[in-house]
Order: sequence, then structure tokens, then C-alpha cells
Amino acid sequence: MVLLLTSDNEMFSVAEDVIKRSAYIKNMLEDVGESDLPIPLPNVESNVLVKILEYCEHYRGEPLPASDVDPAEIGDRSLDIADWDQKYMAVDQEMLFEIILAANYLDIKSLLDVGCKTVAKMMKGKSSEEIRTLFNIANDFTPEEEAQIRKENAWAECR
Amino acid sequence: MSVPSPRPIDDLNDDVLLYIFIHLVDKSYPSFKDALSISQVCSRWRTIATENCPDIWKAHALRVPKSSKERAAMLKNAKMSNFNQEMVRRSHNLPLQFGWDEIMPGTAGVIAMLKFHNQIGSLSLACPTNWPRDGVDQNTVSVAMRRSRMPRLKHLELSSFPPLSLPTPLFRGDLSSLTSLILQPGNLLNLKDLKIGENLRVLRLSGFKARSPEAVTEAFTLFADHVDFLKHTPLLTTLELELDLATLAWGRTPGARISNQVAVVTLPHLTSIELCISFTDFELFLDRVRAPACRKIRLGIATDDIDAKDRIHARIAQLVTAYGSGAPPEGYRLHIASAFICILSPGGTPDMGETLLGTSYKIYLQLYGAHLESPLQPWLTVAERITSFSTLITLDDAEKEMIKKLTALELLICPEKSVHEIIGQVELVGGKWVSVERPDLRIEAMASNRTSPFDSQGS
Repeated sequence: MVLLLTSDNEMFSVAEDVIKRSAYIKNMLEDVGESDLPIPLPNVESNVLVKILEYCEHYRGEPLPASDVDPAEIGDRSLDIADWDQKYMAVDQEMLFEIILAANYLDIKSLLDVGCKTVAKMMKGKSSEEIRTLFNIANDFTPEEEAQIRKENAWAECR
Repeated sequence: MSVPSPRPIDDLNDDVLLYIFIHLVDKSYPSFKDALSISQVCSRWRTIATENCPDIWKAHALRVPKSSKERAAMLKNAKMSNFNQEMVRRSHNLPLQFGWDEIMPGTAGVIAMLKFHNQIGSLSLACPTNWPRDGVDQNTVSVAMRRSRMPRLKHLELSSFPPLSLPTPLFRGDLSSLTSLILQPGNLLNLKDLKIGENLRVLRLSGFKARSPEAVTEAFTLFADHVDFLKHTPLLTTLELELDLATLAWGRTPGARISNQVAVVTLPHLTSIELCISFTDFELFLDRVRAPACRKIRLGIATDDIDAKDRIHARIAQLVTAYGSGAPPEGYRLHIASAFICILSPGGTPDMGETLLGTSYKIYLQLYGAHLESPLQPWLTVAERITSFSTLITLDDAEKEMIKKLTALELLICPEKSVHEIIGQVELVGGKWVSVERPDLRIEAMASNRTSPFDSQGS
């Protein structure tokens, strides 16, 4: 078993083959070897870790992805998401982004993929204004940038 | 004073946002509007999208404008539009895709795009039917093409109907990095004169065409020359060779002279072969090409010699034993998808007879103009041996006697009016035909107005 200590000081005891889906933990275990000391996760809160462990538990036993994949070389660019993953990702925006951040920090590529695809799907086909509304993002463009954007929109008319 | 609501998406770092953007813009069908939308949300997103995310723009960099005004300007001035220039900038140094579906000799736009020849990774050009055939070698596009080097070109697709005759190769650059080559007609370029091959994975040459029916020698060697070229393609995984039907008809009968210049070629990575050739060329291919890893073969074989059918069958059996020796022993399932197309594909059981055992790939056999009494006839000795025979579609009760011998047949599809003639005594149970003699055989009748003698009696 592996001990994990979250940012809000909660201790989790997790089976090694479950948490090894995290390349970060896997590498750490390989570098440090067996230890009774907990691995601190200062960027992950306990409620998020619970969710992350749910994912790792579900895919327990599935082959791990190759570690030498360059994130920029995304093989599967389709936005198809497996049924279970879709249900898993049916959370509020705050948790969705927490999961993505944790997946990125813990280096769980398949989960990062699913998270990013989920966000990409939410944006697909939407205008910039609709995306701003969706994620509550402020329009901070200068008048000059706004003028340039108006020009660019003319490009879209004939593409 | 109101407290601004939290914006959790702001917590994502730039790398993760970049990753989301790349996912949003589909690789196969990149949407310009999606790319534009994300670049216009806020300053931070705009900087990431326009300065650090070339993946989402590269498909648009050399895209020919749809706007008639921009297109006309490009045709007239050989000048890239502001749009294309900006997209090239945003694409950084990534390989770019360029395609033009109707290049004409004076197509200045093509020449403008070819200025980026050092960055072009994918090139797809088609010549329209009304291309002036005279002086094609010296026209401005041909000259610009020959000046281009394209050191990063991986995918090349050229088509021309009717075929151009290009005495000088269109390319003079080193094309050794090419991984995919698609030509229509297949002999549009003289491959022997080009440094193509060592990295080639996909080769599709379709509509091979000899110049005229009088060019008998050319017709004889056309296919052999291209088989000979395969010795330069050690990494090939997918091969498609299709001869033009008119060329096929010129003296391509069994026993025709085969060139002796072609040596045996082994392609260890070749997994998929599609051939639409004469029976003579098929024999040549079998004799000269080895593909131990082959998993899928699709064949279209043309012959006008009725006596060829027995030889075809023997050759198919040879194909099955000679290829795919490394494949798992899954056996075969024989589908006869229509009267003239036979398909062998994986899925059967391993005890199907010695010629089929130990291999696993698909064979589609199409017999053009074979004038056979029964299309199934040449397959019977194979079909009888098979213990799992999934589907037969037949339009003809001439197959009746043959079908009786196919004891492993699971599904028969035939015209409703011929059900009785083909299968004999049948009953309609729950809306499905059932053979009295062979109750396990599933029967699907092809009819737009599905009625049966039993229905009419009932009403």
C-alpha cells in the first residue's frame, strides 16, 4: 500500500497497482523504493483525490500508456469519450478543472485527455462570446485588439 | 461591493489550455471557426492560441480562399492573401498542407503557395479535364513545381484526367522522406526517375493507363515495371495497384508474355494489398512479391478467358498458403457478397483444410466478364471445406445445387420469388423463412413488397 497526504492533511492508503496509473507516483516509487513515509500531494485536496482514485480504481488492471508519449503528439484527436468517462466527468466546473489540474500534476495522461476533451466538447461550435459566458471569462481586449478581431471575423465569413 | 465570482478555468496553466485547444480543433476536419473563437475569448487565450498553438492554424495556412475576390487576386497576382500570410505566421515552422483541386497552367495562386515549398508537408493537386495538353512541360506551374524542393514533403497526391504526359519529372527534389504517394493514373510520374521509396508506407496507384491500344509493349511491361519499383519500398504497409480497365483488355490474357526483368521482392511490413489487375499480372505479382505479414488482400482480377477459372482457383489457393504465414491461425469465413464478388475474411475456425489453415486475411475476388456458368462454381472446392460459412447472397437459382453442398452456410440471402427454387420446401415462421430440410439455415428474402404464398392464403 502507498500512503498519500493531501493538501488539507488527509491521509489515504492506496493499493500500489491502483495509484501507479499516475506516472508521477509510479516514478517516485521506483526512485525511492519502499517507504512508510506518506507522499505529500500539496496541489491536491482530499475531495479531488477521492475522485482521482475512483478513476484509477475503475481502470485498475488496464494497460498503462507508454511513458514516452509527447503530449503535443495527440494521437486520438476525436472528441469521443467513453460512456463511463462521460458519467465520471459529469461534475460541476470547479471539480472538472480540479480533476484536470490534478491529472496534470499527477501525470495521469488518460485522465488529462478525458478532462481536456470534456472541456473542448463544451466549447465546440460556440462563439467567443458564448465561451466567455460558459466559463465566466471577462473580455479584456483593448480597442485596438477589438478592431483586429473584427477584421479576423471577416475571414471566417468565407472559409 | 459585489465579489467577483471565481473562474476556475483561470486556474489551468497555459500548457493545459493549449492541450484543450489542440483537442478542440479536429485533426481530420479542422474547423477554422473553432480556432478563431478560442483566439477571441480574452487576451490570455488569444496569446496562447495565436502565438503558441500552431497546430490549430496549420491546416489553413495554404488553404485556397473560397472568396471569389481573394481567389481572383491570387490567380492574377500570384500573391498570398493577408489571411494566408497570417495563418502561415501562426503555424510557425510546422509542415503545411497544400491542395488545389483544379490547377491550370497559369494558376498563379499555386505558384504563390509553392514559395513555401520548404515547409510543405502534404501536397494534393488535381488537373482538370480541360487542362491544355500542349506544352504542359513548359507551363508556369510545371516550371514552378520543378523548381520546388519540398524537403519535408510526406504526403503527395496527384491526379489528372485525362492523364498528362510529362516528359520531364514534375519534381526534382529529394522525395526520400515521402511516406504516402497517391497517383491517378498510377503512371502519372515515372517513379524510377525519382528518389522515392525508402520511407514510403502507403502507395496507391490507380487507373494505370497505357498511352494507346497500339502501345502493346508498354501494356505488357507497365505492371511489371511497377512491381519492380517495389524493391525500393522496404517499409511499405499498404499497397494498391489498379490497372485501367481499357488497358486490362489489351492482350492481358493468361499466358501472355511476362517480363523477366522483375526480381523477387520481399516486403516484410506490408499488411494490406489491393489489386485490380489482369490474371496475367496477378500471376506475376504472386511469383514476384512476398508479403509475410499480409493481413488483408483485396483482389479484382480481370480475364476474358473462360478456361482461366480453374487456374484462378489454384492461384488463389497458392496465395492463401504463400502469404501471411506469421498470422495467427484464425481460419476463414467465406462471404460471397454478390454474384461476382467473393470475400474471405477472418472469423472461422482453424480446421478448414490445409490450404486455408494458419493464415488470416481477407480476399475479395472479383471476376470481370468471366462468363462462368455459375459465379460460385470456382469457389466450391474452397467453400465445401469451410466449417463456418457466414453469408451467401445469390440472385440465381443456378446456384441451387451448389448451395446444397455448402453445409456450413449460416445465412442465405436471395430474391423472395426464388426462395422455393433455391432452397426447396420452406415455411414462414414468425415472419422468417425456414427451410424444412435445413432448419438452422437463416434465410433473408430480398423483396420490396414482402409477401409469401402463405400470407396470400391467410388473407
